[in-house]
Amino acid sequence: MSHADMTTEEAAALRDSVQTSIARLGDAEAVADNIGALELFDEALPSLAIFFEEFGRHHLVSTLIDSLVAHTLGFEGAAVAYALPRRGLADPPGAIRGGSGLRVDAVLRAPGPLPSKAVVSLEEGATVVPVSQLRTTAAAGFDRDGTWQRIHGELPEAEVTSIDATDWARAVALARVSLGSEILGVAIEINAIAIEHVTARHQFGKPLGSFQTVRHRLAEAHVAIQAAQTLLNLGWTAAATNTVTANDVAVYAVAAKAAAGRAFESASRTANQVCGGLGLTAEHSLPVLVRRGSALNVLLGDPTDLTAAIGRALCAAEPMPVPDPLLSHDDRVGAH
Amino acid sequence: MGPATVEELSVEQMRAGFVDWLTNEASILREFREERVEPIEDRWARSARFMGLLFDAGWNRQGWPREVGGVGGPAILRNALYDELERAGYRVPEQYIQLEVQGPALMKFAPHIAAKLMPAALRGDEMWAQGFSEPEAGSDLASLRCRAVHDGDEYVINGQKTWSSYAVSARWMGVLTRTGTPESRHRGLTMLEVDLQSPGVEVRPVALANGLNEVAEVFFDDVRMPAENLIGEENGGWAFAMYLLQFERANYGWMRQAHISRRLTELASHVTDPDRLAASTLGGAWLANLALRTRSGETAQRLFAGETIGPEASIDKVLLAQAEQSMNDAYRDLLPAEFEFGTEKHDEIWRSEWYYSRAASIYGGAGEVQRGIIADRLLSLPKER
Repeated sequence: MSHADMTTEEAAALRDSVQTSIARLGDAEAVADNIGALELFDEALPSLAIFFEEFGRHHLVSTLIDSLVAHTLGFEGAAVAYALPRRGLADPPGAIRGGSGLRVDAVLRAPGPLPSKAVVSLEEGATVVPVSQLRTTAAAGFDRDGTWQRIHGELPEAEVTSIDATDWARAVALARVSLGSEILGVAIEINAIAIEHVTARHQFGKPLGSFQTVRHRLAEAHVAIQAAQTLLNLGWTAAATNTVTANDVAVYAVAAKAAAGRAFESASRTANQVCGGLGLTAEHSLPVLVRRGSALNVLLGDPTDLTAAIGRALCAAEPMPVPDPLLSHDDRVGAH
Repeated sequence: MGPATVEELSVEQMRAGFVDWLTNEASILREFREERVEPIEDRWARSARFMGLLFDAGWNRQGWPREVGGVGGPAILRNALYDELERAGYRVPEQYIQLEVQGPALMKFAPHIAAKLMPAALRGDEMWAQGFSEPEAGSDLASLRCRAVHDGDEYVINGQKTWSSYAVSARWMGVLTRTGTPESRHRGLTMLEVDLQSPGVEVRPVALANGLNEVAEVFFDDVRMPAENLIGEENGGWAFAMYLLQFERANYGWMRQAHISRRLTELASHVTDPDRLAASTLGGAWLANLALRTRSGETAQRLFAGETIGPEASIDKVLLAQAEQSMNDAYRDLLPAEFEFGTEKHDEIWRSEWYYSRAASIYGGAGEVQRGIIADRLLSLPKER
């Protein structure tokens, strides 16, 4: 079954059970276990979007992306160690070959015990590294509650397992749509919080939400969210459809993550304005979301570097995917 | 060779068959692939000839019911036609815009008028225009004043319309008139199909900033129309207008994305080794058009399946304006010497299109109106008033 085959009712039912499970268990790992998210990897890949969106909305940290990537690469149990973002690069390397081995500097999410191994990108392809042989530092930076750990240090070549560049490209595409859906969930929740605030809060004798500037900004964030949702659907469907070329899957994923990031930027900028001072207080529900979205937005390329990658491909006249939304379901992302 | 008319085509068959035809007829069709700096009336006249060829070969009759001059088949085949035209380097004849916007509404509210007028329109023989806006009724459409009085078996029309696209060359205009009291707002409006060749009609072209007479003012001085030209019910014009606006806000976007996609490819072919900002500008325009393409294609499918799109069409309209404007701004940003000072024909065409793209956030309900609809009806925010 693919996402397209999942009816609106089935999608709503899955979302409902994820939400119920989150309310009951309050922990992403338990929710994923409870609903059997791992079984969906091969059976209903695009339905994972619902998990990621809900985890994003509830700012829950999960290792579902790690499990998905590890499953795709055949290295079960490995975490994804994201290269530190570097301006100008949509695909920065998390490890560089040099001298006698490999120099690693990357971040991973560890809501539970540290993973024993991690996948980290090279300038070409990727590699699996043993985490225990690297230094690990808690990296509670802007996203304080993100359980980020920085792994760094040098490894001899013998400790490293190479991953084929083609396999890695697919793993990156899956990680991008996953991050994209999580970012989208964050953006949706942020816009909802802002809407709630401007509806309840009165100034000058009327609700803030009755002022046109406020209304239009929230409407714009909503449009960005809807556009991102559309492109994420395409990205997930492409990844789940085996007639789609690897290049198209990769470009759709880049587009989807960029759009989700833009939606987050629009929603968070607006919410931080219209919620006023309250939205900047430690006890407000916004900061944890703003912090989470900000960190996720720069991993595997921020929106500017992702769109720049698309722009360079256009200038080089590289083949670009052309979806056919006149067709139904997953046919629309196929070769055309 | 024309398309099969016995069996319904699928979207894929329509695309493949039409592309074959375009390839085979490429030498005859050359003049329609050319972008020319010319009066817009001449461009429309060329488009009309193109439509005649498409009609004779049967391609532009696909997806329209037999009752209106088509050969039947799913309406979505029309979208495939527009897509393949632009992809093969042909500007979609602008006549189709009014056919797509007014056609489905006419078929629903006045099938007898659709049956009478659409065949000639599909052949390219007659153009249509739309008379909604007035000097004192732009974004606030329900305040319009152009008056129609029922007199025996006729309606007598007095007043003025403005910003009417294609009116300079059009034969027929769907005119939204006031039949109720001035205070009746949207409840006292009536839609009439008006023959612009009637005595008492005066069409004055309005040259836009790009020098083209894309729009016109239309004056009505005791213009008499037979009562059978009533579209829908008397005082039921608002329902027609709202039904129509779904297509203007949504399905029209599909036609534009096909054009934007072609222009974006052309733009990219002029840019080499872009820096981060330039590449991102270009990629951002592509992303905006991908969102428009996907969203408007899905919306078209829903509309043709008989669904009511309602306020969600405002999202499509905002996405359309973003795609149009980001692509044209990208050209100006990335090729400033050509845009500002170039003397080649294509430089002027880009400048002209840039100005046209500014209208994308104004026509069919201004960007502010769309954001208001989204705020009220999708986000349930407190009302402005």
